[in-house]
Amino acid sequence: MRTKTYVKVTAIFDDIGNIFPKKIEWEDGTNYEVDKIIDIRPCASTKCGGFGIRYTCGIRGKEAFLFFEDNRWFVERKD
Amino acid sequence: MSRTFDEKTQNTKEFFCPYTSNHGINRGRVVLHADLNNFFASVECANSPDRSIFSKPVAVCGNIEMRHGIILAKNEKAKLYGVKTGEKISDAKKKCPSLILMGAHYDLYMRYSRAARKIYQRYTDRVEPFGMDEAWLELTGNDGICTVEDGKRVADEIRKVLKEELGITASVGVSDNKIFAKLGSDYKKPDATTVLARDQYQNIISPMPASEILYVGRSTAARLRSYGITTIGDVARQNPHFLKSILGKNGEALYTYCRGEDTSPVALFGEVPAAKSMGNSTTPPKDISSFSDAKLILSSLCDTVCSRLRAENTKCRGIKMNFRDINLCSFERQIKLDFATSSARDLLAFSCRLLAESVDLEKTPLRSMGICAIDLVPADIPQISLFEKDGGKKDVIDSTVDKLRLRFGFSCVSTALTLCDREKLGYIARGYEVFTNLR
Repeated sequence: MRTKTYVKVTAIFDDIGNIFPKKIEWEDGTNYEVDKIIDIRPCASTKCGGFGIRYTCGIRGKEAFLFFEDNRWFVERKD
Repeated sequence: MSRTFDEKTQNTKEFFCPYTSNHGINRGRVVLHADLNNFFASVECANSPDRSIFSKPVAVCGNIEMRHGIILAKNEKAKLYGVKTGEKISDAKKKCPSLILMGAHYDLYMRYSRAARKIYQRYTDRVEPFGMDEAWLELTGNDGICTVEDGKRVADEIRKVLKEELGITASVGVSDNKIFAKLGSDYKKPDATTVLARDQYQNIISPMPASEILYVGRSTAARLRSYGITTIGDVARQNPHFLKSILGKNGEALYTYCRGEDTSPVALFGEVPAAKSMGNSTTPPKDISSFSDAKLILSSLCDTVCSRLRAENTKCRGIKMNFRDINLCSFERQIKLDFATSSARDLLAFSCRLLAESVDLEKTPLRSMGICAIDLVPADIPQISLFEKDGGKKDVIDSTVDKLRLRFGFSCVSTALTLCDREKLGYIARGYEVFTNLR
């Protein structure tokens, strides 16, 4: 079971309008640096519902999906 | 040439349908019609954090307190229980006690609709929306696409992309004209591609009920049936003059539709055809049982309709009213004006007259009522009635009201009549919270 969890994200907007997330702030205040972006594509969230631009991010040696949906960011949090 | 059996004459007769010919109209066109399946319900499921919802019967319904408590859409599971669009929530619950009811979220549906249209635009710039959940796509002339088989490949890809990116499914029809493409998308649901090409005319299209063709509603189908015309092939075999004599100019159009001869192009995305009519309707919280209540509601409806007319720089030369009584019986009445107007006062005067002539409110109260401005003409062409002697005062007042509303919001100015009893109103018309904002 996963829960759709909206998070604060620090991102870079480049000169042609691309958005790259750099840092995710978790609910408890912990910051997670995005080490690399592996993939970017429009995609539905099959685990939590909704759709947006899905960033496959490398964070602390693991892969995680970060969605940019309607001007908000969310992750599929494991319960 | 095809052979068909005529039941009346007991003869086998032959008719030529140019659609089956290799050199017919529309040859070489590739048109898709995409229909997002059970749109409102699919969006609610796709957006729900509870993923088990896909295996449950779900329906989207209107606001019960506002008496809009009907089923607006249902998913495939709910369909299995016989839940129907437009039926009362209580009836649907009787059929399916485990039915999950969800409120409607139009902003969400619009977001999905816009995203789907963006996906279509990756394949062609000719994307003509038909409602929130349907669209035609013209692929003719696109690189490497010259047959309906190529169209099928694109249709399958579109369905795959919709599923991956939005999490919803679509049925797509592929043909060489808009009418048969739409017929194809209705043919197999959900999540399917149907090709209706020339070589399938005799076997698949011709025997289909005439009511399956776009724009053939219940009354047209009944009228056709009364002449023994039941299938698309039957319509295609008729003399077009005969069809015109029984259905008016729509008969001629139907003739071309059923023969696959509709040549109407798919519009460029963003091209908005001029409106042929503008209307608003409402189901108030209480039944309309007196003329004064009806006038109050009509006043607000006329106000919003006329605002829209003036915003589009048009006037109307006719009014059509639709009514639904407490027995859920619907009927329409219309009146022609001898001058063009966009004044709410004019519309109110004529609609009240039409209402008084059409309905006995004390005998049969109304559940809902709507007014539609028809026969629209550009506002800049002066059309003065011989009997109109206001010297343009109404236009000056309307123009001032429009300016005020532009600056301070729609509800900043209203007729005194609508201040009488706000509780009887309370509907939201075209994004304006007309009466709930009257404080």
